[in-house]
Amino acid sequence: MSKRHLLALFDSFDEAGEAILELRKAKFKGFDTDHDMIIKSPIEHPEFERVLGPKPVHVQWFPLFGSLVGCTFLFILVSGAQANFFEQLKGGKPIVPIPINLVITYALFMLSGVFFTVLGLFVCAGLPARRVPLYTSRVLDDQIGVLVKADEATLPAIKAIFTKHKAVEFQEEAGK
Amino acid sequence: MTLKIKDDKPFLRDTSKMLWDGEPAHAEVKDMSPHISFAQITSDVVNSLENPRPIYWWAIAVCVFMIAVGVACEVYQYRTGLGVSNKSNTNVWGVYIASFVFWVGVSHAGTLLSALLHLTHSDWRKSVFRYAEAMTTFALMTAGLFVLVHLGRMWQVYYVMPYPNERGVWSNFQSPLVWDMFVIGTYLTCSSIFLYTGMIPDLAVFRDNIHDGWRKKLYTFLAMGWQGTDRHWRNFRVAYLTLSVYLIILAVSGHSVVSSDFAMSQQPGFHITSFPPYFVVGALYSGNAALITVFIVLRFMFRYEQYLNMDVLRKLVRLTFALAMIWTYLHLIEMATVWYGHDTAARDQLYFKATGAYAGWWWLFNFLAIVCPWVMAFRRWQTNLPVQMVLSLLLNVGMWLERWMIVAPTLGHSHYPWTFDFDQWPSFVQWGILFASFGWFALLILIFCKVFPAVSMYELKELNYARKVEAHHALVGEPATKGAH
Repeated sequence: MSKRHLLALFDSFDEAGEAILELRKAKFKGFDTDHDMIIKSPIEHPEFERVLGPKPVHVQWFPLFGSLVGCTFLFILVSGAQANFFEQLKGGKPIVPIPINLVITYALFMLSGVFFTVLGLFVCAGLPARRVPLYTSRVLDDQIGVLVKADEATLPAIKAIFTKHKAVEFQEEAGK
Repeated sequence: MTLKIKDDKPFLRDTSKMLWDGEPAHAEVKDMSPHISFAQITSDVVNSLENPRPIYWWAIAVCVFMIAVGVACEVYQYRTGLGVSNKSNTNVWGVYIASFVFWVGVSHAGTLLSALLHLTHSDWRKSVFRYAEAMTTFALMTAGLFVLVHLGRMWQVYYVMPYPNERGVWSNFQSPLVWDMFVIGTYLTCSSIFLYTGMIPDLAVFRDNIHDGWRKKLYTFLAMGWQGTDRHWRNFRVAYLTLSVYLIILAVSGHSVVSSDFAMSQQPGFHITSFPPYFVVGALYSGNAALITVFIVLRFMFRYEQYLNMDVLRKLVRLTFALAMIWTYLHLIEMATVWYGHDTAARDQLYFKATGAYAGWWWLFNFLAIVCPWVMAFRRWQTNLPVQMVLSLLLNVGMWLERWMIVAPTLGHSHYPWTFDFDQWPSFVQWGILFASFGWFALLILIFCKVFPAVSMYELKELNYARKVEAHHALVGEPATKGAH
């Protein structure tokens, strides 16, 4: 059966949250609440997002990887340059002075970590993103949107739940 | 091109300007109204791009004039040689490097407000951190110019850049000047990324609320398809928190490395162990004073009375006062260490500052930076805009003099009498370029605030929502457990 999108707009986080909880309990056939439901809001609201169930975040691994790669790369670069001692005579001083090199190694540790954090955000959040169906700018202004993708036969029941929880407006994808 | 709010949004037309206690919006606002709607916040910020007060354009003209003065001075110096700046073999840094340190210092307040207060969940930062972050980026760009200008032959900056070349000779990685290039470059890049990342949700709001023109294309490109989905917010939250941690560490280490330019040398007056914390706190202090100046200007120019309100100003002033006291302590400790130490050259140096050719400037800076902030301790003056405007400017004059008093008397009164140069006075070229740097910085800030959201809409909405939840729970007598953090 073909699937269609339905976007319900709410004025209140509480109502939207209760509607989502009820949807999760209802367990409609052909409607996976973990994958077929997206909430959109103008502000971040961690408590509200929890009604969707556990959703892991992996962004934090990117800066860890980036920082380690960055500092390793710079330390090798700088040490390699300093080891070129035939051109730059050291006069008895250490060829690769580790404590001194830590200062700029640290700089690239930070720079690379920041670059990879942003890369992690883009990869994990799926940015740049194309517009999903049924987008309305109100979800970035003052309303909470719940976008579901479900079988055509299931949509009326889902809509009824949204209506029960005071959805103020619906947008429905046209049938094919 | 005219900016317009789309007409198909009835909630955006709900533009009641009455505040929660019945005062008109232009009156002195104690705090953001809990009854203001999300749409009103969007409307206010989007409209601020279109309708700054006419003084905005006068300010732009003044900034352009200031920059023109500096460009003329730089062209003259470039064509004639560094001698016209009246620097000498002894006083090789002059106003330029003092200004470099000053501008790096101004940049620090943005990171403090944005990153550190973000980690500690200090809600009052939400209306000021965006322009504070912009100040960080623009102050660093201004600081970077002084590095180039003070070289005279500015292309020789390549000596500090590591690149493979046919000579097999690399930059001296053991030099604090090379560290400076690395760390300040990193700080500038990271603060720009931090500024942009934090703006993505607001850029999406601009994208949706502006009809057409180059702005629409710009916001569409920069918003990267942000739609406020749970996936977007979840990852954004972690990424922004991570960036905050990086930025705090970078800010502290950045100015510590700048202080190493001085402290790693053997110059009496420079070779002081406490310089890194002294520089960092001094940076936060002068940066916060600059934040107050910009706060008052933006509040008036862009009609942000509702958001840049007196409650926020009071906290900003108190924070500045606290930083001023910490800095005063470190300043006195630094002098005490030198005075009671066994380094006679350093003690002579301190004595020279207080009684020598620069004594007037040295005492003036002590008065401005140590005594003047005490005005901030009085509650009645904390939200007096004219007083705070004048005071914040005076504090920054004091902190600029502090940097100049680190650089000029020290270089002019070093170890050896034959290098003494007490009469060095910067020529009009140095003063002209310093003058221009303020115009350059102000111009960048003004353009930024006209093109991008100078206050963070989504964080203001979070603050507004949290207040509403608190008010609701207070009404029904329950502890508040929900709400945006």
